[in-house]
Amino acid sequence: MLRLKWNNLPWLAVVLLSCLAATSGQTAGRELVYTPLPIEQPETVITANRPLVTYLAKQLKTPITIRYEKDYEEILRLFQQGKIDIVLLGPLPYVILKKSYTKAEPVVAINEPDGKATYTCAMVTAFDGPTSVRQVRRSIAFSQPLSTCGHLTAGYLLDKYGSNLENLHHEYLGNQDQVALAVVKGNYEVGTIKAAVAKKYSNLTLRIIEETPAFPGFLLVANKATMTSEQISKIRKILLSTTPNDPGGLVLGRYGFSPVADSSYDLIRHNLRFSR
Amino acid sequence: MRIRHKRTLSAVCLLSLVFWLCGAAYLRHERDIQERLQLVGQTHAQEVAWQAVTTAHRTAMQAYFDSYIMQPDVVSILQAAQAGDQGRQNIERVRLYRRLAPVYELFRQRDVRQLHFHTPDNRSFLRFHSPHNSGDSLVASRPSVAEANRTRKPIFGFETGRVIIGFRNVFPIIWQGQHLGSVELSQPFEAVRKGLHDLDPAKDYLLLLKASVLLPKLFDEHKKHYAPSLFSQDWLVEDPRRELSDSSPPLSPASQIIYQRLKDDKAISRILAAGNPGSVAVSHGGRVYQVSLIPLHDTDGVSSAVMLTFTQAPELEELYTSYWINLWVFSIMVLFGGTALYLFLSSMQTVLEQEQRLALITSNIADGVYVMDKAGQITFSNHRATEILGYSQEELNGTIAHDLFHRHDGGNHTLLEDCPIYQVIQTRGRYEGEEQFANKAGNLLTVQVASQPMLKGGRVVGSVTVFRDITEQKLLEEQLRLMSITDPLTGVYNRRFLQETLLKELYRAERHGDSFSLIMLDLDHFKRINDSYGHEAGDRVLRHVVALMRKRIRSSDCLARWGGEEFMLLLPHTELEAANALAETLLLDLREAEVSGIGKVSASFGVTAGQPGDTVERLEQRVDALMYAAKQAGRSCVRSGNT
Repeated sequence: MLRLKWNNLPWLAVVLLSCLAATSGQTAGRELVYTPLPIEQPETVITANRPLVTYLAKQLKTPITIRYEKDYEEILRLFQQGKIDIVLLGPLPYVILKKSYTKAEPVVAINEPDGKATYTCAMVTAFDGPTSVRQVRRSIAFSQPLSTCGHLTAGYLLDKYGSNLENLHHEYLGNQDQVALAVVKGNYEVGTIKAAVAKKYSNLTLRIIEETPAFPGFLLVANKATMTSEQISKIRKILLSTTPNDPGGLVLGRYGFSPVADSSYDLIRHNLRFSR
Repeated sequence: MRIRHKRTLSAVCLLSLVFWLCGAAYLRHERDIQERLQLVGQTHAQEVAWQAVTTAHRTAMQAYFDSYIMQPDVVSILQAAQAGDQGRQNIERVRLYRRLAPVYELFRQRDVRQLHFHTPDNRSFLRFHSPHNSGDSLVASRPSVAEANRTRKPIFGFETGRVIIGFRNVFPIIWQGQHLGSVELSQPFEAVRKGLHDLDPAKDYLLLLKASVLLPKLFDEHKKHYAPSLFSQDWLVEDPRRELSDSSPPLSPASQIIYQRLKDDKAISRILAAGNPGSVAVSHGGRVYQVSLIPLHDTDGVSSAVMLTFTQAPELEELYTSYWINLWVFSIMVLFGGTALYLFLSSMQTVLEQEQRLALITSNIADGVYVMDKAGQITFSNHRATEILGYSQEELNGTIAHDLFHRHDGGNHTLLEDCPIYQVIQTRGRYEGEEQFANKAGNLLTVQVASQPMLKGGRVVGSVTVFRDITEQKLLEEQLRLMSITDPLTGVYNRRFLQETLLKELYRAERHGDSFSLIMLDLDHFKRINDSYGHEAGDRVLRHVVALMRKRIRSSDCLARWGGEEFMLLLPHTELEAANALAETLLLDLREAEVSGIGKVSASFGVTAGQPGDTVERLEQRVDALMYAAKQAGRSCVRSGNT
C-alpha cells in the first residue's frame, strides 16, 4: 500500500502545478499565429491585416503574431501541422483545406465593399489586349495554383466560351498585383485576378473582359487542433458584432463580417475540376 | 610648535588643493577645447563626405536622365499624353511603363528607388514603384516637383514624400521648347550610405526623419515602415525591422550600443533641436566613439532629417589618455610640490624660530654678539653689542668690525690682515683674549673676546664673536691690587709688597750683579707723640714723614710702611754710600721740617746694601740691627754697614 509521506508533498505540488501550466498553455493564453493570404504585395497584405490582428489580440487579451507566407500550399501544410492557428483563406483554399483537414473551423467571412461576403474574379487585359475571352489565344497569368481567382477562374471562364486553358501558355506570378502589372506590361495576353484588384489598375488601362459569378467570400479559418472552442466562438462573436461604422481602423474587415455557411462554398466544390 | 606645523600643513594642503583644482580645471578646459576642435573637424569632414557623395550621385542621375529619359520615343509618349484626354493619357502611361520598365529594373539595381513622371501641372503621371497610384497632386507633398516645373530647372536634394523618402533629382522635361512635365530619379538613403561606406567602411550611418514633416505626407499604407527613434517620438527611423529590400543594414553591435546610450543624451537632443551640424563623443568599452549629426534639408529648406554617423575616434582616445596622464602627472607634481613646500616652509619656520630664539637669547645676554661674513663685514649684532659700542644695528650691519671699532696698542688702527682675531679665525681656530674696542664716542673699552669661526664645507664663511666690556672690572681689579700692596694711612707700599719686591731685587741682583740698598727708619719717641697728641696727630706725623721722603726718592724706589712708625726704603741700583747719603739727607729734612701743632720729629736710620748670599730675612735683620744701633746711639742718626 502506498503510504504518503508529508515531506514529499512539496515535490508533488510542484509537479502538479507544472502539469497544470503546461496544459493551460496548450489552449488558452498562448500566443496565437495568424497567417494572411498573399494575394497582393507583401506590404499591402501586412498593412491590410495588421489592424484586424491587433483588434483581435486586444479583445482576446492574447498576443497574436502575423506569420507571412507567400505560398498557398505551404500555408495549408503549416495549418495542418498546427503551426498556424488562424488563417485568412480564399474560397478555393478553404474548400481544399476543409476536404483534407477536418479540424479547420470556418469562423467568419469577410464582407466586400458592397457589404456582402461574396466577390468576383475577373479575366483582365490591357488596353491593347483582346476584347473577349474568345480572342484569348496566347498566354495567361495567375497568382498561385490554389488561388480561387487563378487556375479555377481561368478554367471556368475559358470553358464558358469553349476554350481550353491547356492550349494557352500560363504562368504563376506569385500575387495578383504582379499578375496585373505583367498584363499591363503586355507580357501576358490576359490574367485572372480578383475584380476588386483589377479596379485598382484602371488607370493603367487594365480592363475586365469577363467576370465570374459571385463566389463566397474570403474567410477566417480557425484551427481546432490548437485552439479551444471557446476561443473560436469568442472570435466569431467579436467579429460578427462589429459593424462597418466601428472605430477600429480595420482595413481587412472594414466592411464587416458575415457568418459562414459552408454550403455557400459548394459552387467552388462543383468547379473544382477547373482547379489545378 | 606642533600646532604651528599643523597650521602650516593645513595651509599647504589647502593651497595645494586650490592649485590642483585650478590646474585640473585648466587641463579639462584644454581637453574640452581639443575635443571640440576634433568634433568640429569631424563634423566638417562628414559634411564634406556627404557633399562629395551626393554630388557624385547627382552627376550619375543627370547622366541617367540624359541617356534614358530624354529619348525621342519617350518624349513622344509624353507629348501624346499631354495632348490627349484621360483615356489617351492612361494608354500613354501604359506605353511609358512598358517602354521604361526594363530601364527601371536597371535603375533599381543601381540604387534608384524611384522613377516618377509628373505632369506639367504637378500631378503624378506614373510611379514605377507604385504604378496604380497616379493622378494625385504633388504640390503640397513634393515642393521639389512644383519648383522644377515652375523654374524649368533641375532640383536636387533630400526630400520626404508620399511613398518614400530619399534624394530627389527632379528634372524638367523640355523638348524643343515644349514643357512636358518632369521626371524624378530618386535614391534611398541607402544609396548614399553605400557611397559613404565606400569612402570609409569603418563608419555606420543612421537616418532620422522628422515625424512632423514626414507623417503628413506619407500614404497610410507606408506609415508602417517608420518607427520612433530612441531619442523621441519626433524623430523616426525608417524600416526598423528591415522589411524593405533596400533598407540600410543594421548598425554594428558597437554602434547599436552607442545608439542606445545616446537615448538620454542632452547634447544630442540639443543638436537635434537646433538643427545644426554637430558631433558628440561617447565612451564605451574603453573606446571612444564619435557621433556626427548632419541635418538634411528639404528642397524648400525645411529641416526634415538628420544623418547620424557612428565612428570610432582614436584621436579622442589619445586625447583622453593624454588628458588623464597629464592629470596624473600634474597631481603627482602637486603632491610632491606640496610636500616640498611644506618641508621648505617647515624648515623656514624652524630657522625663523631658531633665529627668533637666538635673537631672544642674544638680546637677553649681557655679552655683545656680532656675526661677520668671510670679508669681516658684520651681518648680525645683538642689542647688547649696540649698547656697549654705541652704534645702532643699522650702523653696524655691513661694516667691517675691525675697521670700525677694533683698536690696538692704545687705540691705534691696524690692517685687517694683522688683526689677531682675524688671523686665528682664518686658520679655523678659536680666539679668546682681551682686546680694545672703541665705542662710537671714541672711548677705549677693554673687552673680553671669544671668536669662533663658522665653517661650511670645511671653509671659513664667517665668524661669531662674543665680547664683554671689562673696562670697569679691570679698574676695580687695579684698585684692589693697589689696596692689597698699599698702606692705607700713608699711601706707601705695605710690608708684604716690599718683601716681594725685595725678593725680586735679590734675584735680579744675583742674576745681573746689580747693587741695591735698603734703608730702615723708625720715628723717635713716636709713642710719646701718640700719647701727647693723640693717634690722629701720630697719623699726621706719619703722613708728614712719608711726604718728606717722597720728595727725595726715585720713582723706581720702593717705600713701604714696615709697621707702626717704621718705614723701609728699597733703592735699586744704589750702592751703600749713596744710600747712606740719602738717609743723611732724609734725617736732615726731618730735623728741618716741623709738623704743625707738634713740632719737629726725628728718626733713626739703618742703612745696608745687598750682599751676595743675602736673603730677605737676612737683609731685614741686618738693616733692623743697624737701625737699632742708631737708636742705641742716641737716635736721630744714621748707622750703615754691610755686616
